[in-house]
This record gives sequence, C-alpha cells and structure tokens, in this order.
Amino acid sequence: MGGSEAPGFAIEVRGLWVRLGRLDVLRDVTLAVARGERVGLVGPNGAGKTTLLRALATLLSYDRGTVRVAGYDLPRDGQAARAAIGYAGHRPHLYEHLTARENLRFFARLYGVADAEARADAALAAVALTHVAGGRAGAFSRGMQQRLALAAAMAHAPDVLLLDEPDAGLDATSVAHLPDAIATLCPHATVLFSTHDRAVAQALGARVVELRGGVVAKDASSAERVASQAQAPAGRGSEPPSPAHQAGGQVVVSPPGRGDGGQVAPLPAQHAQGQVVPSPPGRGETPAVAWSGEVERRPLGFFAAASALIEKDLRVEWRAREQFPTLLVFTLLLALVFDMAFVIPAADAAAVAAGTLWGSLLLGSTLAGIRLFAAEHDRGTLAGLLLAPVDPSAVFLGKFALLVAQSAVVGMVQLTVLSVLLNVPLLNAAMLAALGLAAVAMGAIVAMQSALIVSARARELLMPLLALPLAVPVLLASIGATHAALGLTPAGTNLPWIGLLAVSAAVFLSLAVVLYPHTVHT
Amino acid sequence: MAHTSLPVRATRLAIGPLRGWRELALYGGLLALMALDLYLIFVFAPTERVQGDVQRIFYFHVGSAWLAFVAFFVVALGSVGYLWRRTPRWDYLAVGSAEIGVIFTTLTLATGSIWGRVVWGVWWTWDPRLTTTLVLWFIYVAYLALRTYLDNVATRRRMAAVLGIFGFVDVPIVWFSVQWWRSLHPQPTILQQGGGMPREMLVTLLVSVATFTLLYAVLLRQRFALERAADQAAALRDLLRAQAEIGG
Repeated sequence: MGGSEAPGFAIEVRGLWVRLGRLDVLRDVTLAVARGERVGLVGPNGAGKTTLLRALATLLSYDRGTVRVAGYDLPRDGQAARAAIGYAGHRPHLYEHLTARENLRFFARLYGVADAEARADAALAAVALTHVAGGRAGAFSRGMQQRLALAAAMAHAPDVLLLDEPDAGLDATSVAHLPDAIATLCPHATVLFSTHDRAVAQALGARVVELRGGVVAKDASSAERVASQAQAPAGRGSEPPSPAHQAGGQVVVSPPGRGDGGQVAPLPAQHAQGQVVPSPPGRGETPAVAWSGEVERRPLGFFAAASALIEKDLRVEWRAREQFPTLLVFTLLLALVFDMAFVIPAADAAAVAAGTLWGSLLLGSTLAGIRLFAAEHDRGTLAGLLLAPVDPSAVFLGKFALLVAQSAVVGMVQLTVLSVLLNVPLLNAAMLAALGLAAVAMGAIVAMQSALIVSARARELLMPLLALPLAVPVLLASIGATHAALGLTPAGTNLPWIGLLAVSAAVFLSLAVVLYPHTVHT
Repeated sequence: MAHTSLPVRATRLAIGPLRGWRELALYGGLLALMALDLYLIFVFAPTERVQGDVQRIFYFHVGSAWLAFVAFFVVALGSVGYLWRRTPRWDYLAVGSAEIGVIFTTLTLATGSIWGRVVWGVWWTWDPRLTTTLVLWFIYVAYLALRTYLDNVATRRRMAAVLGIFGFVDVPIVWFSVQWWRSLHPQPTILQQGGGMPREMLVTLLVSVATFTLLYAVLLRQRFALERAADQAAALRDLLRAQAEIGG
C-alpha cells in the first residue's frame, strides 16, 4: 500500500490544549501540515512553539485535543509514531564522550536502521562533519554540535522532522546549507520547525504560522484544511506514513526521485539521486554525496535495544571513566573507615567482614546509581532515548545491567581485599552466588529509585533516604548468607538467605521493569 | 482571540462545620466508640498477671499497627489508581493515607518501646519485627520527603505513585518477619490455635481495632478534602495570576 492514495496530512492537530504545571501553554491550537510540506512556527518567547513541537514529538502529554503525526494517533500509537519522527530540540541530544560517528551510529541503530554505519557516514557528510567524524562531540563548537544534532534527528530518514530553532548556534553558511542537508537525508520529510527569524523560514521555503500566547495568531489555511479533511475521511486511520512504504514489518524509505506519489516536496533540483551536494564554502570539508540507498528501518526488539544501550554506556564509561574507578575506590575507602572505626577482635573478624562488605557495597551502588541516571538526564540525552521507538523498560534494563556489572566487579574486588585484610575466607562459591543475587536485587532497587528522583532537588541527599530502607531485606539476607558461608551459623542455614535474596531480586526487578515507563512519560 | 482556560471545578469542601445527620452520626459514632474502647481497655479488660497494668498499652499498640498497615495498603491502592487513571483524587488518597500511616507507625514504635522497657528491660532491641517496622517508617517518610523535593505537580504525583507501589513490597516482609526470623516479639495471638488470650481481652482488642479503623476513615476523609482544597486553591491562584498577566 503506497502513501499516495489520499492526500492526507503528515501533522494534524485539533483543539490542542497543553497545561504545564498550572499554566495553559497551548490553548486550542489547530494546525494541519500536508505531507512533504514545510512549516515554520514563529512567535515571541513563551508563545508555545517549543511546547507544540515537544507534544508532537511525544515528549509531552496534552490535556485536550487530538494529535495525529505521520498517520499515527497520539498518544495511543506513540511508539510507532516515534519511529517516523525526527526531533532536534534546544539542547543537542548527544553523548559528549562518543565521537560524531558513534553518536549517529547509535541513534540510527536505536531507530532500527539496517545499515547504521553507512547511514551515519552519509549523515555526517550531509552536515559537513566528515572531517571530524572521529572527534568527540563534547569537543565540538556549539554550531558543530547543532549540526551533529540535526544529523542525528535525520539519521533514520524520518517521515516527519520536528526542529526547534534549528538555526540556533549556526552561522549564516550553515543555515543556508540546512535545506540541502534535509533534502539529502530525508527528501520526502514533512518539516515543522520553530524560528525567531522569518527570513530563515522563507529561506526554507516554508509556510509561516504564527503562535502568540499559546494560540495560533496567523495561519489562514489550517482550520479550513482540518475542516475539509474531516469531511473527507477516506483512508484515514489506515494510511501508512508517506512516503515510506511498509513491507514485512519493516519500513523502507525510498531515495529521492523514487515512488513519491506527487506529494509536495519543494526541494532544490540538484538533489537528484547520487548527486554531489556542495559543502559550505571555506571549511575545506569533504563534499557531501546525497544518500543514494534505501533506508531500511526494522523495529528494534526489547533485548536488542537494551544491548545497544549497554554497549553505548560501556563505551561512554570506558572513555569518561567517571563512575567505575570512583565507585571502586569509594567502596574500598568505606570498608577501611568501617574497620578503622572499631577495634576488631580476631574472633569477630568474620562478622565484621560481612557487615563491612555489604554495607559499603550498598552505599557505593546507591551513589553510582544516581550518577548513572543523572548523567543521562543532565546532558539531555535521556530525552533523546525516549524519542526513539524503543520500550522505555529496555532503557531501564540497560542502566540496570550496567549497575549490576559494576557492583559485581567492585564486590569481587571487595571480597578479595577483605579476605586479605581481615584474614577471612570470603572467596568461595556460596559467597559468589550471594554476590550475584545481591547485585541484581540492589541494582533493581537503586536503579528504580534513581529514576524516580533524577529530576528532584537535592537528589544525592534524597537517594540514600529512598534506597537504603528498601534495601534492608537484601542487606539482611546478604549478611545472613555471609555468616552461613563463614560458618558463624549452623550448616544448612545458607539456603533460606539465598532464597530470600533470589525472591527479592526477582520481585524488585520485575516491579521496576513494569513501573519504570511511568517515571519517564511526562 | 478570546483567552479561555481549563475550567477549575468548584466543589463543596468537606471540611468546616458539621453538615447533616450523616456527619453527626460519623463523628458521634467515633466519639462513642472511643469512649467505649477506653472503658473496655481500662475497666473491662482484666489486668495481665505478670506484666500488670502496662500490658493495657497493647490495645493501643496493636490498634496503631493495624491502622498503619491499612494506611500503607491504601497508599499502594491510591498509587495504582493514579498510575492507571491519572486523576488527582487517587493521589489525594495516597498522600493522605501515607501521612496518617507515618503518624500511626510512629505511635506503634513509641508504644512498643514503652511496653518493651517494662517487659524486656530495654527501650529498643534490634529484633526483626522492630527493625522492619522502623524500616517501614523510613520508607514512608522517604515517600513524603520525595513529594517535597519534586516541584512539578504531575511529576510529583507520578513518582510518588511509583514509590507508593514499590515501597509496599516491604510491608509483607514486616508482617512475615516474625515467622521468618527468630524474634523476641510475640506471635499474633488471635491467630494461635485455641486462642491465646482470655475472651475479655479479645473483645477489647477487637473493639480497639474497630475504633482505630473508624478513626482512620475519618482522618483520611478530612485529609482527602484538605488536599483537594489545597489543589483547587493553587489552581485558582495560578488562574488569577495568568489572567492578570494577560490583562496587563
């Protein structure tokens, strides 16, 4: 089924009402954007431009009205819609410790782009960043970061491109080159963007819609368009996004010049297939070549998404080294402080070792957990993940897995160090089993609580307050299992504790996976 | 273009002077039940042979603990309701119940501590039931703290709801802790084979539990109305401010 059967709208908004906190930011907004059309939103600060774009990008829920993007009803079909949407906000959703190419490859992979590597290279070329493809995004200038963020938004060839002030931070040459980049990477995309500069809107060949005080102040055509569309509902609700066509569960976006059913696509003529697109003059960069292949998007499975996230987190941690070394030293230091605070008779060394080991590990993982989520939240990259068509629980599972891996490695080091310092035989199979289960249970609790408070004030202070009481059963069971493993309690008392650890791990992890999506949807 | 706003529903506030025979019956019934309970505790119930009169604190202690468990169950219920329906009244229910639960967990710990000082000779011992009840208190104090640290109303309600469900996992652990771990704390006496206490004590205990349950219902009703009134007041305040800004 092709996308050219009915004219339809790529974006259809009726009576949209958004309240943020206690203020009505959008009031009864109605807007219709035809497929392939470009619309520029203008208006003063606080007009509601960003809110409208965020609502369309599924980042905000709304109070009243209906919203349909790329043929999908929001919020019901949010996940399907996200696959067809590309969004670049005020803050670039980039990982500063990853290179430009790695950033683009990661986002292309999250959207299920089959050949993410090639697509990343094409996107880099389109925004004239090929010469710095191996450079870390954090070292880029504001303008380069903005170009990279725009490339990331277009890397999966979205059907609807939502850009919040795409010209912010760009020099005049880059702004002039923006239409070419869009034409190269997603030639059929419907583009809705906000800008303070009407000249930019005109340069992009866009229809201008003015927002003021949360209402559409000037837009002659949308209300009539929506009304006329309502009278001719043929095909609506079953149309796939245009110009993509769906085949066997995957979405194939045709390159320019193929299979477009005459939709509005006001692009410069030079963007025919395979044609060279000039790069901005004076930068000495490799000329960009228009994308000449098909972009295949296959919905990414739950575990494939989680593994992509884990791989990304491991790579970031390997480069940044901002968590693991600190966590390791911190837990060792805690063990040292505990042991120095008490005079330990040799006979009590085993009992002290158990408390020291698990107490320090729990405190350490509590702080590591909040950092893991805070880093993603503060850099704005969490919003980037939530924009992708992946199950939010997969995002949780990725963070959780990294936290468990960190805690397990730190626990192993602790077991070794305390065995030596306290002369207690802690390295045995029973202790390793307890460590594995405790790491999972503590990881689930800590990751869940971190997700809850990542946007709270004084979150580092709040974190232990939330996580430690819930972790008490895990702590008690771990200490009980250690006492049994060290022979402090009668033989056979180990199993109930291991059982309690296993039950705690299963209950807390299951609940966290189910509840996590509720913590991220705004 | 005319500026309109989402309507702020004006609802009758349930706080204030007594209205109608229903409220009179509710408060009158609670007062009568409290008076009856005090009579049963201090006059009707026999004095325990070993512990003496201090044992009478048992009726307050068990009543408070029961109320706290019910309150935390209602927090979980309100939290599930909020995540499911996303209507504020479920959140009013959860936050109101959490506050009452924390107060009565505090009373449970305090009455238990006074009783323990006489019977066990210590104010506190790291017994599993005591420890887990203290943990329970910390979980719901953290629940209330979390709410104060989140400024955005919708986020606050959502995160609190998630914690209200996640935290409730600890409640059964507290309940079964006596069975799971060796404990100084007595087993639930009503549930023992053949009954563990004289009939007069059992009647007094059951009336105490009923009194505390009714007290909880009355307190929750008031707290719910207060939370709703505060929410409406805030909405009206914002509406007036927004209108003043538009007008200015």
